Amino acid sequence: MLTLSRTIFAAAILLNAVAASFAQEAAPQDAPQDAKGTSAITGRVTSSDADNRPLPGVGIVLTAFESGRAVRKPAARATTGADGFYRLANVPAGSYHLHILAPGFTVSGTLTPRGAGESRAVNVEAGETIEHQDFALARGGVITGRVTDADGKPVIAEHLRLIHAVGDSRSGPARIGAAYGFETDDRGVYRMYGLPAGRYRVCVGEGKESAAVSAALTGRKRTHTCHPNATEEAQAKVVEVSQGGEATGVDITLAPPPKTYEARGRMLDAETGQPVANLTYGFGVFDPGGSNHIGYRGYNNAKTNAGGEFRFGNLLPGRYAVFVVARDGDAPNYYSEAVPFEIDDANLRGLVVKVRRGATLRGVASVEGTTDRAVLARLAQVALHVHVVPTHPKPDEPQLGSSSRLTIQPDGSFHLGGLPPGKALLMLDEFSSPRGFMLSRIERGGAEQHEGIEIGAGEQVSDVRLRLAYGTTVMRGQLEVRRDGQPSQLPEGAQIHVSMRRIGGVRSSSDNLSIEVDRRGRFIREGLAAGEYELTASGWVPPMPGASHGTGLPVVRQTVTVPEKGEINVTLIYDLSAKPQPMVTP
Amino acid sequence: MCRALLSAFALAVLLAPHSTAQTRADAAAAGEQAKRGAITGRVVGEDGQPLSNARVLAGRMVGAPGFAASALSDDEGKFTLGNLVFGAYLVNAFAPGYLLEPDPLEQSGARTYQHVGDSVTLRLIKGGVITGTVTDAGGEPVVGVFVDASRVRDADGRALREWANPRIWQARLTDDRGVYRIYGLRPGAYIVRVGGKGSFPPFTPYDPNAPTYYPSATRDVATEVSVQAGQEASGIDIRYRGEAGRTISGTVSGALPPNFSANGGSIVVALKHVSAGAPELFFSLSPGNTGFAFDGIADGDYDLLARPVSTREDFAAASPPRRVSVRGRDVTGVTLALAPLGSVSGQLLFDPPRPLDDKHACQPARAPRAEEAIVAARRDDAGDAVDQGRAFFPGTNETAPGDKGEFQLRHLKAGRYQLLVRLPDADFYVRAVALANAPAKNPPTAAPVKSATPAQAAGDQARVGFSLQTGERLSGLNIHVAAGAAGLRGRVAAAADGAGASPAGVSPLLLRVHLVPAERELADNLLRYAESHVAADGTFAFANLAPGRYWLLARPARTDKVPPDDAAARPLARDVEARARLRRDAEIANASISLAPCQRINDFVLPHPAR
Repeated sequence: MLTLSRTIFAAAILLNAVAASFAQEAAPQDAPQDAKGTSAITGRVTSSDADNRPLPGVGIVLTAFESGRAVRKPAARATTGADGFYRLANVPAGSYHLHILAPGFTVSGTLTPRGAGESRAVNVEAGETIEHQDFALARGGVITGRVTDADGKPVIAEHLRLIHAVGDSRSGPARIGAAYGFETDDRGVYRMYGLPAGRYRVCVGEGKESAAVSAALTGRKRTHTCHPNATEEAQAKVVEVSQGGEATGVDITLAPPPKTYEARGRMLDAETGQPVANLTYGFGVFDPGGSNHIGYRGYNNAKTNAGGEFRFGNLLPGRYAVFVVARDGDAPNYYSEAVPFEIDDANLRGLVVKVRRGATLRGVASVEGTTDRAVLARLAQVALHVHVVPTHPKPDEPQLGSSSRLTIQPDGSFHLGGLPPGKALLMLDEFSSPRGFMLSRIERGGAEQHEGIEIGAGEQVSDVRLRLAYGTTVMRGQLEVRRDGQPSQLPEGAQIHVSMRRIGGVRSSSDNLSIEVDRRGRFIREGLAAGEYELTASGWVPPMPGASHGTGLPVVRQTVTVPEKGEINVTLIYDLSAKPQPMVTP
Repeated sequence: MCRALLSAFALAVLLAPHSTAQTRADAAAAGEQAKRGAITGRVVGEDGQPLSNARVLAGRMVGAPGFAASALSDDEGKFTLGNLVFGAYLVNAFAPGYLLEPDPLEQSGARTYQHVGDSVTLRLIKGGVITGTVTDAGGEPVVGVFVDASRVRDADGRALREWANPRIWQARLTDDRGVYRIYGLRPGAYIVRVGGKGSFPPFTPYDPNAPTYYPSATRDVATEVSVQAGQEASGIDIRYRGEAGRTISGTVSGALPPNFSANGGSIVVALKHVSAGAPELFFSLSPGNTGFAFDGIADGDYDLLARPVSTREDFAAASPPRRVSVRGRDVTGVTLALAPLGSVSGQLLFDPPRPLDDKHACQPARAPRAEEAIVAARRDDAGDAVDQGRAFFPGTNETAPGDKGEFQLRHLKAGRYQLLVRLPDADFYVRAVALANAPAKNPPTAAPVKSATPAQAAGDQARVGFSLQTGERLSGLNIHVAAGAAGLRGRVAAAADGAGASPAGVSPLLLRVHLVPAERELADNLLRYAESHVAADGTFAFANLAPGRYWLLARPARTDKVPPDDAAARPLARDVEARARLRRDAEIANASISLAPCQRINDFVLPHPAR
C-alpha cells in the first residue's frame, strides 16, 4: 500500500508518467537480423458471420514467453491484408503468445471485450512454417450510460465492472475485468464496446472486503453499486447485448457514501506490560461470510507513537483484526497475534495488542550446479519468501501466520527477524528471481528439513543452510492425446496447461505456474535444473458465450528425469478417459 | 491501469535519483518527534465550496520531491498531512478532471513550498477538454487508437521550454465510433497526436505507424488547439494517415561505474520533438546493451538525450542533447556520449544570535530551520540561460537542506551558475556565501570577473555563484545566514499625481524595481542587490534584506512581453558594467532608504521613471 501511494504521488507530482508507461524496452540487436533458420507463422482472420468474409487491417502481435514469463516487447507483428491473411516472418525458435488486436471485435468463443487480450500459445521450432493460426471475429456489442453520485454529479474516471449474468454471481463462469479499463469521462459517461453478445450486470466500485480495505488504507469510501442503483449484485438489472448491438441508458446512481468509524488501542510488551513505540501496525478484514478466516490485510506507513498507541480511521462496519507487521528496519523486531475487533455503529477504543520479541533465522545460501561467477553473482537477486504457520493452531482463533521476504547478501548470508513461533516454510519466488534458480534443499544443523523449520518463541536459529540449484536445461514437450489407450483428439476449443514440480525439491512459487500447451500439443520450459520432475497436465473447455459452465478435462501426472544441460524431449500422455477435474470458478 | 501506475513509479524513481538520500534523511530524523508536525488545509473548488474525496499528497524536497504523506479531503474539504519532519514540501491535490490552480511563483521559475505548521487552501479548477473523431482515409472510424494531447504553450501563449509542469497521463483510446475525449487539461495550447505510442503494452494495431497530428499532419506543421480553463474544444477531428513510422536508432557510449546495472542502474534515452516542452518517448536500454531504437516516428526534427538512472549509485551523467532530422527514412547510428555531471555541496549556517544588549539585536519569531530553505542553482552563462537538458529531466536544480543545513545540488553540467537561496522566514537574510576549506585538488574554479582584482573576483564569484568543470564535485560552499532581516514594500507612482497609473504609457508589468547598496564598500557585494517585478497595480516587494542604506530605482525590464518572461531573467547586477550603470543611475535618482534590523516598511512610494 505504501507502494501504491508512492506510485500515485509519483505519477502525479513528478510528472508525466505516462511517457514511461510507453517506454520502449528492447534493444534493437535483440530483433531478428537474419532470416536464416527462423520460422514463420501464418493464418487468416475472418468474420464469424455466415459469409466468413475476410477481415483486413487486423493487427497480430507475437510476444515471447520465457520460463513462464511474458516478455513485454513484441517479437513480431503483422497486419491482415485484403484477403484476411497475415504472415509473421523471421520468428526465431521459442515459446510465444499470439495476440489478436481487433478493437471493436470479439474473438469467437472468448469473453474478452474489445477483441484484445485474446492470446494463444505457439511453440516455434527452427525453420518451420506454422500455418492455420486462424481467428474468427464477431463485431462486439456496446453498453453505454452515465454514472452519477447521490447528488446527481458526474462520477469521473470510475472503472466499470462487467459481470456475466449467468447463474448466480458467485459461481458464474467469468467476471470480465475490462482489459483496457473502461471508465467514465468527465461527464460521467462511459461506453464499453467490443463486448461478446450476452447478458450482463454493470457495476462500479468494489466488493465488501476490498471496499473495507481501501476505506481503511486510503480513506476512500467507495460505494459498490450496480445498474441502476443496486448495492447488491444480485439486485442489479440485467442488460442484454446482441452481437453488434448497443444497449443505451445503462445509468448507475451511486448510493450515498457509507459512514465510517475509528478504532484505537495500544501495543504493550507481553512481558513487561510497557507500551511499545515505533511499531508498524496492520489490520485484516475477516471474510464477511462469518468464518474465522482473514482475507484481505494491509498496513499504512503508520507506527505506534511514544505511548504505544495505534489508530485506524475510516473503518466500515465489519469484523477486523489488528496486529504487528514486521518490517525491515523496524527495530527491535516484534510480532503479535491477530486481535479481533468488530465495528458496528460507533468508534472503538481501548484495544490491547500484546507484542512479543520475534525469533530470528540466520544462515547461508549456496548454489550447486554451476561454478560460473556471473551466475553466482546473481545469488543476491534471488527472491525468497518465508511463511510461518502456527504449529498448533487454536481452532477458535483467527489464523494470521506471517510472510516476509528474505534477502540474501552477496556473500550468501541471510538473516530475518521478528518471526512468530511456528513452522517456517521457505519458498523461492521464481517470478522475481533470476532465471534458472531453484531451491533444492533446506538444512538446519546439517539435517534436511522436509517439513519446514520449527521455530520456538523468540528462538535464535542460526544454522540454516539453503542449497539452491541452477540449471539451463530446456524441456520440449509434446502432448499425446488418447482415450482408453487409443490415439484421440482434444475437444474443440480445449485449453491444456502443464505445470512441473521438482521431486524432492522445495516448494516453489512456480509449482503452480502453468505453461499453456499450443494447438499442436507442444510446450517448452527453459531454465530447469537437473532432477526428477513431476509434470501435471490439466485442462478445460471454456464456456461458449451464453453458457454457464465450461467442461473440465482430466488431470494427468507423469514423471520426467531432466539432465544437467542441453535439451530433453518429453512425450506427455494425456488420456481423456481419466477422471476430469472438478470445475473451479476462474 | 495498474501497469501504468507502476511504470509511472518506475519513471519517478529514475527521475528522482535522490530518493535514497531522502530515505536516509527521514530515517535520521525518525524518532525526533519534536521536529515533526502537520500541514493542514482545505481543498476547495473554483466557487470556494469544499471538495471532498480529493487526494492530497505532500512530497518532501530533498534533491527531488519524494513521497512524504497522503490524505483524502473530508466532507468539509479539510485534510491533515500528519507526522511530517520539518522540511520544504510540495503539496498537491488531485481529483479526476480537476487541476490545482497554477502556482503564482511558476512564472518566475520557482515553486511554492509548504512547511510544518502551515495551513494551506488548495483550489482545484476544472480542467479543459479536447474531443473529436478519428477517421481513416475512407472516412471509417479508427477504433481503439490512442489520442494524446501535449501542452506546448501556457495560457498566456508562452512556449514551454522546460519540463516544469507535472504531466499526468491523459491519453485516451477512441471508442467504436472513433470518438475520443481528453479531459483534465491545463489551459494552454496543445498539439493532438493519434497513434505512435511506441511498442509497449497494451498493444494496439496502430503501434508501428507514425503518429498523425491534428488535423492530418506531421509534427512540424501540426495545428495547435487552444484550451481555455474548464472549456471544451470540440470538433477536433483527425484524419488518420496510418503512414509507416520511421526508426531512430543508435548507441550510447561513455564509462559507467562498475556493477552499474547489477545495482539496478539503467540507461534511459529520451526523445523530444524540438518544439515540445518535454520528452514524448523514452527508451530504457536492457542491461549491458548500448543500443536504442525508437519506432513509429513521424518525419520531423527531434532532440535525443541519454542519461543513466540509478537509485543506488552516486553517479550522475548525461549526454548533450543531440538533434536528429527524420525525412522519409530511418535514422541510424546516432551516438549519444555520456559526460559526467557535476555537483555542488555545502551547508546553510545560521550566525549565532547577537547578545541582547546589542543595538542590532532583534529576536526572530522562531528558531531557524535550515531544512525549510530552498537552495537552487541556475545557469548563469550569457545566452544560455535555459539549460537544454532541463526540458528532458525536471527538478534537478533545486533542493532543501537537511536538518543540519547540509545540501547538495547534483546533475549539473559544466558552466557558470547563480546560487539562489530562498529563506522560509522573513527574519533572516543571507549575509555571505563563501567556500570553506576547499581541498587543494578541488579548487574553486571561479572565472575571473572582468575589471576586478583577482582577489575580489574570486570573492565575488563565491558570493553568489560558482563555476563547474565537467563532472566536478564542488564542496564546502557555505551559506551564512543572519537574523534581523528587513523588508520593504511599496508601489511605483507617477511623480506628478502619485496615482500609480502610468502617465508615460509604460505598463507597470514591464518595470523592475532595483535595490542598490548605498555604501560604497558594498558596491560589489551582489548579495546586497535585489530586483522585484512590479504588479499591475504598481506594487513591488522585497524581503530577507540585509539591514543598511539602499537606493531604489525603477527601470524598464529587458523584455517587451507582457507579462515579462522572467523565468530565465538574469539579475542585472550580475553584469559588471550593468552594475556600475545601475549604481550611477540610482545615485542620480537618489531615492534612498535606510533599513534597520527587523524593520518592515510597507508604504514606500517610488516615482515612476520618465521615459
